[in-house]
Amino acid sequence: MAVPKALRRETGISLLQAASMTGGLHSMLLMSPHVLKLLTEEERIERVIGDITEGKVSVRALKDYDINLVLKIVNRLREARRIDPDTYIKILDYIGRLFLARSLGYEDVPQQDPEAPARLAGKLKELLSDIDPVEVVRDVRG
Amino acid sequence: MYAVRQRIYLDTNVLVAKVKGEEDRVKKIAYWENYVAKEPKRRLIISIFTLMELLHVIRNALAKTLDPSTDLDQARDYVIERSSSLFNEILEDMIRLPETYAIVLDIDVTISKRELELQNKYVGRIRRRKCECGKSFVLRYGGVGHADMVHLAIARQLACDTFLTFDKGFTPLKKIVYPPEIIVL
Repeated sequence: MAVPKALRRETGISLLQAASMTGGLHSMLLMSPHVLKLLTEEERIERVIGDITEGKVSVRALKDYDINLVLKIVNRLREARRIDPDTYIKILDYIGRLFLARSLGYEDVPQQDPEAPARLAGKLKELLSDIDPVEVVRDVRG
Repeated sequence: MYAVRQRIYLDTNVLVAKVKGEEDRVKKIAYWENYVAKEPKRRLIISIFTLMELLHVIRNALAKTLDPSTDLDQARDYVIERSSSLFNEILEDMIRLPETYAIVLDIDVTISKRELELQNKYVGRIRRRKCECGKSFVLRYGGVGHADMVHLAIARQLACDTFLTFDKGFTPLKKIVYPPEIIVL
């Protein structure tokens, strides 16, 4: 018998503890739809990150999860050296772009555009015409 | 034999030079854009600190365009509104940048005594600069500061092997900060 998520939350027992109560992880895994329901959001995110690391899913699979929770987990995994720096940066990049895209009114990160770097060049040409980039940044830094 | 560079951190002046469109500097940046494009795992990294400084640069520059007699509240409203619009235009392109770029906003960074030691040890230069009035000169201290240290700490946290800047003030740090390797363009 599977232990409902709500009950696990209330009692504070983990998935593994629930597994041992229900006759072992193996028997739980045989009931995959139930297993998915049993996983907490943290466990689901960790599983998605694992799939991203293995190249099974796109980083966009993280779109529907709580961004702060994703960041908490990805930082924890990185600290424990359970994900490589490339995957770490890839996930942080997606989350960064997602945050910016949402602040601009998009639901998800728009498709990449190979012309974007060229468009960015000279975007503030007029405003910064008399300004030296090194000096202005020095001024900002005090 | 040259070292293979995977994660290349961009100092704010690199991004500012790009959006300003300075021909010589844009060419130097293009070299690195082409370099990272050769291998799928190579990235040019733009951090939240870089974006924050870019926004500050925009606001600073906008304020300087106004007549000094402008009403201060009106000036403030103008700077906020115009900077927000310009910054959003930049972000519209940034979120579409190819995978050769990574935009990293959330970073668990530790600022340690190492940063204070570096700043304390590597004193910059005193320079004579023209006063903003254009009539007289003032002495200004210029050297590695707290914000430079934060950029280096972020680069280290993100496992960057290279730090690109146009600021020659970083030169004294080249021999003692590694990683990342500092490259003054």
